[in-house]
Amino acid sequence: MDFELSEEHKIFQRTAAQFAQKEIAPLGEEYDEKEEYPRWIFPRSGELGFLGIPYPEQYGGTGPDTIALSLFAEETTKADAGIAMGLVVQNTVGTSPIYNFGSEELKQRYLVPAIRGEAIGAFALTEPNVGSDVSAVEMSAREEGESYILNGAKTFVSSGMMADYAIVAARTEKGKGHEGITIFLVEPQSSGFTRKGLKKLGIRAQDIAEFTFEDCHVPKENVLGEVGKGFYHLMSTVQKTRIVVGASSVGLARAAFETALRYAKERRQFGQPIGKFQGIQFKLADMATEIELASLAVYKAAWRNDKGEQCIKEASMAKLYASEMVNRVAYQALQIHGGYGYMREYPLERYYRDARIMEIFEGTSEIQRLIISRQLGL
Amino acid sequence: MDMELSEEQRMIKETVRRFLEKEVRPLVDEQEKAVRPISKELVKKLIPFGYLGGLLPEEAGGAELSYTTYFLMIEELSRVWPSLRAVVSISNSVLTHIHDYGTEAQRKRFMPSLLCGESIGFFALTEPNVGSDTSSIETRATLVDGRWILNGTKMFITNGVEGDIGIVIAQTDKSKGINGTAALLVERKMGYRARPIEKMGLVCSPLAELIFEDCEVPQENLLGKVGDGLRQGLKFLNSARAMVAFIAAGVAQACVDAAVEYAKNRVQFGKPIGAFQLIQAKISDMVTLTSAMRLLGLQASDLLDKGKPCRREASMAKLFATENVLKIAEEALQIHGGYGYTKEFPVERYYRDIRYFTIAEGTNEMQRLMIARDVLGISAFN
Repeated sequence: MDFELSEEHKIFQRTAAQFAQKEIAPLGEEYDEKEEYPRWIFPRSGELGFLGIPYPEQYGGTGPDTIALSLFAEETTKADAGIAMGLVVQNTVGTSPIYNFGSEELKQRYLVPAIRGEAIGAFALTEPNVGSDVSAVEMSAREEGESYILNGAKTFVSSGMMADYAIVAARTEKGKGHEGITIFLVEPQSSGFTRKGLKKLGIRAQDIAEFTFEDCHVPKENVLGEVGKGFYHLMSTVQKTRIVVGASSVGLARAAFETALRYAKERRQFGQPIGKFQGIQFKLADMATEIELASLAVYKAAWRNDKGEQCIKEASMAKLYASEMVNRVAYQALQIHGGYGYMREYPLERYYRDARIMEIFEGTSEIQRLIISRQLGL
Repeated sequence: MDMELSEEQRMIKETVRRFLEKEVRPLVDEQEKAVRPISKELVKKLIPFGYLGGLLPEEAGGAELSYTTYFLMIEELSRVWPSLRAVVSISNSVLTHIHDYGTEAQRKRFMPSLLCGESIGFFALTEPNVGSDTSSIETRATLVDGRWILNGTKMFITNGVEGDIGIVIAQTDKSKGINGTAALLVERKMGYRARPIEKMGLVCSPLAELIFEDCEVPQENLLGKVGDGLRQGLKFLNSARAMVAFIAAGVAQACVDAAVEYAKNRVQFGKPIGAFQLIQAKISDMVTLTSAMRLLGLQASDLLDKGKPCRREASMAKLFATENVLKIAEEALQIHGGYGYTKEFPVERYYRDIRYFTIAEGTNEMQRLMIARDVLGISAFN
C-alpha cells in the first residue's frame, strides 16, 4: 500500500494549484455575476500544458494520466467551479471522442488545436426528451451522397456557445435502441445549425447551450468511430469523466471548508470565536472527514483507471459520494457563515449554487446508484 | 383533539389560493428573472385578504384573524411567491409592534399608511458583528436636546432599501446589556444610508445594510420604554418561528406540485419517470415531510392562539420545517434532472429561496441549543 502521490504528481499538483489560485480564483466572482466565460483562459491553459492531460505527446498532450487530470480538476474547481468546468470539459468529453475514435486527419484538425487551447470543443448528447436514457437518442442523421443530414435538438451542451466544434450523437438507424447511434463532429458555421445559451443555478461562468439542427449537412469524413456504434463508443469512457467530477467535487468542498474554517476562527459571538463552540467544531470535524473519504475514493478510482483496470463501480461510487458530500459540506459552510453565507459578498453563496450540478451531470446520483447495484449483480 | 381546519379557515385558504394563482402567479417568473423589487401596487392587492394587520383587533384596522388562519394565508403566499411574502409579512410585523407598544399618538401617526400599503415597514436588529448574540448590539442611541442621535450599522434588513418606516433597536446603555436597549421608530426622511446587499434567493425582496451617522430621531419616536427595546422584539420570536414553518410548508408544497407534474409527463426508458420505484419513493417522502412540517407548525400556531407558552414547539417547528423543505427542494430539483438546474423550471428558484430559512429568525444551530436548554434545563451558552 502506498497513499502518496509520486514526485511528478506532487510537482504537477503544485503547478496546477499556483495557476488556479493566481489566474482563475480572482475571476470567479466577476464571471459568475456576468454569466460569461473568460475565453482567454483556454489559450493560457493550453500554453501551460493543461489541456492535453489525458493525451500523449504526439498531439501536444502530457499524459495519459487520470491522476493528474483529477488533480487538475480538483485544484481549478477549488479556485472557481464555473471556469474550471470549461477546462475540464475540454480535457474530457470535449476532446476524448476525437482522440479515441477520430481519424488521424480529424485529430490533426481538431484535437491538436484543442490541446493548444486555440479551439474549444463542445459535447452534445442530451436532448429535451433524452436525459438518463441515453439509448433513446432521437436526433436523426440521414445519409445523402457524401454527407449526413442532421435534424433535431440537443440541450445542456457544455461549452456550447463558445465552441468552435461540437461532438454530436445522432441516430443513423431508426428505432434500434443502443445500436444505430453515430457520433459526428459538427462546425457551428454549418448551415441549419443554431444555438442559444441557457440560464442556470450555478457554475454560471461556464456556458451551457441548446442546439437546433435543421437539415444541417455534415461531411462523412466527420464521423467519429464506427457508424451505428456511437452508444458503445461513448459509454466506454464515462468512467474517467465520473472520476473527474468526483475530483471537482472534492476541490469545491475544500474551498468551502477552508473558507468556513477561517471564518470560524475570526467571527466572534458570545465573547469568543464561534470555532470555540462544540456546535461549530463538530460541523468542521465532519466536513474534514467527509472530504478526506471522498478524496480517497476519487484517487483510488483514478489509480485503477491509470493501471488499465476495470473501475466502473469505483468510478460511480467516487462520483456519487463526492458529489453528495460537496453539497453537505457547502450547506454546513454556508450555515457557519450565518446571514453572511446567504449574501453575494462571501463566496459561500456561489459555492452552494455551484455544488448542486455535481449530483446531476455525467449521470445523476440516481443513475450512479443503478450502476453500482448492477455491478453488485442485482 | 381536532386535527381539521375549520370551515372558515378552509374557505379563506381556498379563496386566497384562487386569487394568488390567478392574479399573482403569472407575474412571478418574469419579475424574478429581471430581479425587479416588489412594488407597493402589488402589496396593496393583498390587503383585502388581511395580509397587512390581519392579526390586529378590528378597532385598530385589523380582521382579528387567529395566528393559525393568518399563517395558512402565509403558506399559500409562500407557495406562489416567497419574495412577496417577505415584503408583506415584515411590514405586517412592524404594524403589530406599533400596535402593541406604541402610544395612541404613534398608532395614529404610523399605522394608517402601513395598513393601506402606502408605507412599507422594516425591522432592524442584526448588525455586522451581531448575529446570534443579540444582546451585544453596538448601534448607539444617545439623547441630546430632546432628540435621539443614532449611530451604527444594521445588517440584512428586509425592506431596508424601499422601506419607509422602521423599528431600529439600539443600545442606550452598554453596561446594562439586554436591559440597556431601546426601540426607535425611524422614518426614511430622517436620513440614513441604505446599501442593497445581493443574495442567493428571494431576489425581489431586497435586503439592505443601513448606516446611521448622527441620524436624528425625535424623542417622541421611542417605541415602548427605554430598556425594553430588545425584549419587545424577542417577544415576537415564537410567532415568527412558527410562521417560518408555514413558509417552508408553502414552498414544500410548490416543490411537490412541480415534481408531481414533471414525474407524470417526463418519459424515459419508455414510461413516465413517475412509474419508477425510485421516483415514487422520493415523491412519497416529499409529501410525508410536507405534512409533518405543516402539523408541527399547526401545533405551534394552536398554542399561540390559546395564549399558551410555545417556545419549544415554535423552535421545533422552525427547525424541522426549514431543514426538511431543503431536502424536498433538493429532491424536486433532482427529479427534474438537468432541467431542474436551469431557469426554465421554477424549482431552481424554490431551491435558492428556501435556503435562507435555516438561518433567518435564529439559525437552526441556535434553535437546537434553545430546545436542548428547555429539555435539559442546562444552558450551553451564556
